[in-house]
Amino acid sequence: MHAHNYGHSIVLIGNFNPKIFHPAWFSAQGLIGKKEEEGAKIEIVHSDLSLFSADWLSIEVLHDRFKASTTQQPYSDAVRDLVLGTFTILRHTPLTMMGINIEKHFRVNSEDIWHKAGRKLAPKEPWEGLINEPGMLSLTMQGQRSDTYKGFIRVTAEPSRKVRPGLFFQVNDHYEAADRGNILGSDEIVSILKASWQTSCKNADVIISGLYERITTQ
Amino acid sequence: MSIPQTALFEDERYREDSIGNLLSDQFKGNSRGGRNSRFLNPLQTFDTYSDALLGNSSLNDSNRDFIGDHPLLWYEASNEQGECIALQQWECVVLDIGPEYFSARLHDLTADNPEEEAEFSVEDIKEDDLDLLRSGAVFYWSVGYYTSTSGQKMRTSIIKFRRLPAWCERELALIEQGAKELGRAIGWGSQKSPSR
Repeated sequence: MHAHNYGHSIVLIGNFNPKIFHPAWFSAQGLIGKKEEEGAKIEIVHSDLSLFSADWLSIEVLHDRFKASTTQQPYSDAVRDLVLGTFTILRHTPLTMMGINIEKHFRVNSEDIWHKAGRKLAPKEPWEGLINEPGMLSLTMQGQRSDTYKGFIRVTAEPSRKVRPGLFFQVNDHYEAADRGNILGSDEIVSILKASWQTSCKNADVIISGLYERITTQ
Repeated sequence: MSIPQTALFEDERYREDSIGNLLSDQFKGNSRGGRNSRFLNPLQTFDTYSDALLGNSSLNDSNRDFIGDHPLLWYEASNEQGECIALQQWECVVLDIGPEYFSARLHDLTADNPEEEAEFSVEDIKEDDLDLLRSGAVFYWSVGYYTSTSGQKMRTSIIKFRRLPAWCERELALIEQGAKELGRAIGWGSQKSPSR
């Protein structure tokens, strides 16, 4: 079972200076190549917001949020490396939370299976007579972490808007620093990212493929 | 482009999550195609979707995303990346380098297969990554299919060399200290050689 569309992102919550997150800075630090820098499409680099894409990578930075993402699965580990590299260099940037997020769209074989999947996730009975033609738009479930880190795992299922008929799944693997009020730099979150990346990716795959199987089989 | 300050910086709903939908979904659209329900079309729920598929809706694609509250700003950025799905992925370490080919040890990231060795053409490396080719360098190799922004689908093989910043003095000092502590814990340096 292979996804039709794919997205992988790392979101960091902390305090950032958006203006420095420019393709030329990443290239000067050796985190992207010179050609990638030259080919980068800069939407905006401003003191309040930085937004650009370069080949396989998209970067969005606000004062309180950093996001690196790709829609090309072969580059998901490269996104991890770029984030590790960036905040190893900017080690005094206070980071309090991190999300490792995977998104996948799947095509389903028939509309009938697709409708049944929606009904399995959100049965219609509680809604009947209250609203006309109830249909599931989005469902998010939150689970506890099975490791020792602070945080949670959120899984969202929706009708796909990219594949018709299709299903969309997102796993938000959310980590928090042990003491968010007393963060001096990026070391703790960077360490969590180094230690958890592979496990996080595998868990997300298990969750998404398991859920897909359960709701699309009779 | 004007930035809607209220939505961007004062909406507390977006401060306590790490999903990262703030810009992607509200202001430019992303792979998910919009998360916030005020931008979603009710016709696209399960069970009521057929009408939209059959064209029974009076809505067209251009206004479909604007049902409900109007977004403050809809910045539709094109996806410059294209999309790529990997069918199999390996993490590889460069072993030997020749003028035209180099060999590498492959660790399968997709399945629990034993490590293998393979030979690659130097020509397959992106120009940007050529100066990273050296013995011991790590790269990722993926085979899959790529879909361009125009929808053209093609089989692809991608080699991407790992880029990490050079070790800084602080990290080297930490590693050295760790090695010394490990050596002490094992007993190296304090134990006499058996030959003496």
